[in-house]
Amino acid sequence: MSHSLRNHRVGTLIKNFQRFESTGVSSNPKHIKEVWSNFQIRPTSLKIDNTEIKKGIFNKVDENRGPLSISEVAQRLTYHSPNEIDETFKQAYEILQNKANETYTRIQSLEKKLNQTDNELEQLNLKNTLDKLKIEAEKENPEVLYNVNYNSSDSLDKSHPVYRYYLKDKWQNQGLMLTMQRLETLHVIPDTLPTFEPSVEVKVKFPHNKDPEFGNWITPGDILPAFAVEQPPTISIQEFDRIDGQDLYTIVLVNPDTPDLVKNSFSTTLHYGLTNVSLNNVDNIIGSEKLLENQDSIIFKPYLPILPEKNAGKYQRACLWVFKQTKELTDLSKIEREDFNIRSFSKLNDLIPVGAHVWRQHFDRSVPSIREKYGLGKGRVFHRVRGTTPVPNPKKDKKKEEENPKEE
Amino acid sequence: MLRSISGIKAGRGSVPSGLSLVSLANSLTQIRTATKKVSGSKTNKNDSAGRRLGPKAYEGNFVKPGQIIMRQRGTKIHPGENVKIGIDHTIYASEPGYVRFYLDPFHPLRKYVGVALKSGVKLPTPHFAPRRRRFGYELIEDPVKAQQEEDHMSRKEYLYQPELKELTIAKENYKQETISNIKQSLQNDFQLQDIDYDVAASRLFNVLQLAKAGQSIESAKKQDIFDFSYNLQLAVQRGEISKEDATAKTSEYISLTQQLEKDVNIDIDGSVYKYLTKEQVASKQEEIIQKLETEFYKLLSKDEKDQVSKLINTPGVFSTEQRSTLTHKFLPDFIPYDVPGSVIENINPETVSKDIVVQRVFDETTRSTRIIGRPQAVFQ
Amino acid sequence: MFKGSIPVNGSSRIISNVINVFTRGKRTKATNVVNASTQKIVNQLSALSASRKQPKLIRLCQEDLIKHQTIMNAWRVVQRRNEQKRNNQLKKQYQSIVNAMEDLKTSHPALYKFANYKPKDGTRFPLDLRMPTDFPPNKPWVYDYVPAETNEKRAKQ
Repeated sequence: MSHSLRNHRVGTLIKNFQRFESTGVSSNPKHIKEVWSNFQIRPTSLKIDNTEIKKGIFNKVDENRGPLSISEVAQRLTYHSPNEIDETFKQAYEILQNKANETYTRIQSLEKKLNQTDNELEQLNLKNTLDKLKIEAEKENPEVLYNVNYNSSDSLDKSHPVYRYYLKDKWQNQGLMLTMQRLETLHVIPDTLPTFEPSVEVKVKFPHNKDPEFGNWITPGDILPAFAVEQPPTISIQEFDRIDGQDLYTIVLVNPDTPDLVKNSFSTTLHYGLTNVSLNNVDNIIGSEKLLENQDSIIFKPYLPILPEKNAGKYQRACLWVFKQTKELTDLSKIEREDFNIRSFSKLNDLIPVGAHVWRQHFDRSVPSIREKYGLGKGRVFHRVRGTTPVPNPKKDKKKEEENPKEE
Repeated sequence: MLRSISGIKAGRGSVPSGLSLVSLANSLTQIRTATKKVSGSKTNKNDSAGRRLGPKAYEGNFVKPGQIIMRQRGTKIHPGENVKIGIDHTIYASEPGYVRFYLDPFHPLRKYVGVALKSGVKLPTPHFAPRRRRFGYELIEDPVKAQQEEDHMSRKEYLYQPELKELTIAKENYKQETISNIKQSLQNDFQLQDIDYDVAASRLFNVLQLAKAGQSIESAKKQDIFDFSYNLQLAVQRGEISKEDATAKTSEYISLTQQLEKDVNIDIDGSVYKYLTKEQVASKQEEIIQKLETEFYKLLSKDEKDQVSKLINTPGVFSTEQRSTLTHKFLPDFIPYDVPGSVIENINPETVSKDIVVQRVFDETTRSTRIIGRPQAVFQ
Repeated sequence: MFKGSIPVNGSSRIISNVINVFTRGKRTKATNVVNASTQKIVNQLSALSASRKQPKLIRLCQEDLIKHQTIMNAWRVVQRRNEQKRNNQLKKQYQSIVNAMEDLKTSHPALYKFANYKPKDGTRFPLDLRMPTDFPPNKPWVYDYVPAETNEKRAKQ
């Protein structure tokens, strides 16, 4: 395409915008103006922190130095922005900001209404509509778009509904699908719980690790060595709906692959149990700081890493389940680690599964030293070759014994 | 037709000529003459012996792992639970148990065969019920043999041993070296009173390691305290120390860290420096940036470059991210054209001196090329 | 299976325990039958490889990508508003004709009757005289078209 034709196209785009501008919006003196640069009624988390990047978006990309976002020098210096993108952007920004101005006038009137009412139901409805309106007003803000797309999700302000909206979108398109795929292929569903509808994003990391390979958030299904899971994990539970006040959560870590030699089968062991953990949208991480402060109130079963014994199967699964509580729970410390039944546990305590995570472990050379640290003694060792002894059938064995009693 | 022929016969009352009758009769009924083919037909010779297909174990039979349950062409019957299928669609057991032929509601048109681990168990296992699994591995009870088996390595692990050994030694050396460096700088540069230098140095080293694994210095400090108290808790669990001792030791350690905090901090590059408050950091940042912009935004000599990098890497002032952007701006790999002194205009390429590089560049505004000179320092 | 089970916020949140309710039944065929034109598009798309159906990668720096996204958002807003404006205009036009006819009904019934007169020889607007449109029709020709009158005749026979 020739250059002049391209220019012509851009020109018509601008004209179209101008035509709309002249007829579209009537300027009302009561309206809030330029709301996207007004940080008195909006939180500063909606701003781009890096001033250089902000300059590159709102003014022009520096022609001599190229865009800051490109790290490679040669690429940066040969970069050219599309023709008239800055002029068009300015007009587009104005159109979108005018729309946001209108939304914010509605938001302000609704906020006034919210302050005046005492009716709880009405308050709840108003809060929900306000959230929706705030998302609508900020969804197209280029600064918010930049933060969502290019900043790490840990640094976003989760108290604002627009960030939660985008984070939920991101999660549903990747993290959720990955987690569900891993839970199903590794048979966490139905070996632990039958099924569930995930509504929170659960992330896990082991912050005691000094090796960068294991220090970050782990991907569901990862195989981890024993030294990487030596100490209790940091768990992040991200709710995407607004939480007024605090919600209570119960978290359990179970291993459904503990060898049961009597039954020649497997049993489930409880390796870690937290309960009555109060979290909200912003305060959503159960880290070492939180564990240090309120150890006795939230831990009902202290952490015991999964330490698979030699030749005890291909791998053992560490299944982390996050439940939402319907009431405050007490007296969970009596629960035994061995033969833990997670189904009856969740049913008995009215727990609703909202999220899950899984990683895998097998025997490695760091297992014996960690067993010693936890005072577990030496681990059992199994034959390398899997035997052919069938699963014992107590009913049938009894019958046989009755038919031909043991000779003495 | 027959009727009409007989009609003619009746009507005329005379015998018709024999030739026409025979030809008619020929077209009506075929007569097979007595012939016998000597050899059979060409297509009928391809028979083979029966392939002995079909079930080899029946409903309720006990099978061992590897025992064939069904031989078949194609999947007349599909493999279900605890069985596997071979290359010729032979179904064989993968676990010992009892054969079950069954239907699965998820695939209503298929027949399945599976192996139930117990005699009373029905297949398929309900969709939401946990899987029934056999463990199968047998315990080694002889402690000597058990130790032998535990020490057994795979080929891959065995071949990796020398490399692993080297790595652990290097790691240990690095640890000793860094700790001694930290200890030395603590002793020389800071007058700390009543402080165990070994404990302080090892704490700072731990914080550094955690920060290098991706945490911020602040969270690394908290994590180090948690690690310390957690290890004490484990010692209590093992029965090595009492609970009171553990809490006393933890509080002692916390007070040490607090004392250390007042004076010393460690940077991500391992250098120990005097503790700065947030306000101090902010003012220092501003000061350094201003100095860089006023004094060093030009073509730099080697000494000046060193100065700039020293300023940017002043311990405890900038984060890694900020450092990279500042380096990007003040120590670029390739000097941009707008840096003062980096472009010499209006030169004659034939008479120019040797320490100036002639370049032909494209000017965006005039949309034409022009010739400029750039000093050698730009490319060093 | 994954999508939002907990839509309501706040204290009056009602959460159903899915485990007790959730069941997975037999798959049944032909649950979503689409019309012919949609099916045609689906067929055409199925012939294309997945990579060719991907939107083209825009090779811009982060700053310009944000600008681009903003411009696209604004353009969508403009178009939506224009469309709404046109729809409102058409709605008004239609309403004014309805009002005029209502007026005529009361003020001059004979004229109203004349205005609503339909000639008996089929439709007033012959089908073979196609309405001028911007695009060719989805259904180019009505082959089995029978005028209304002949239908009546056949019914009588």
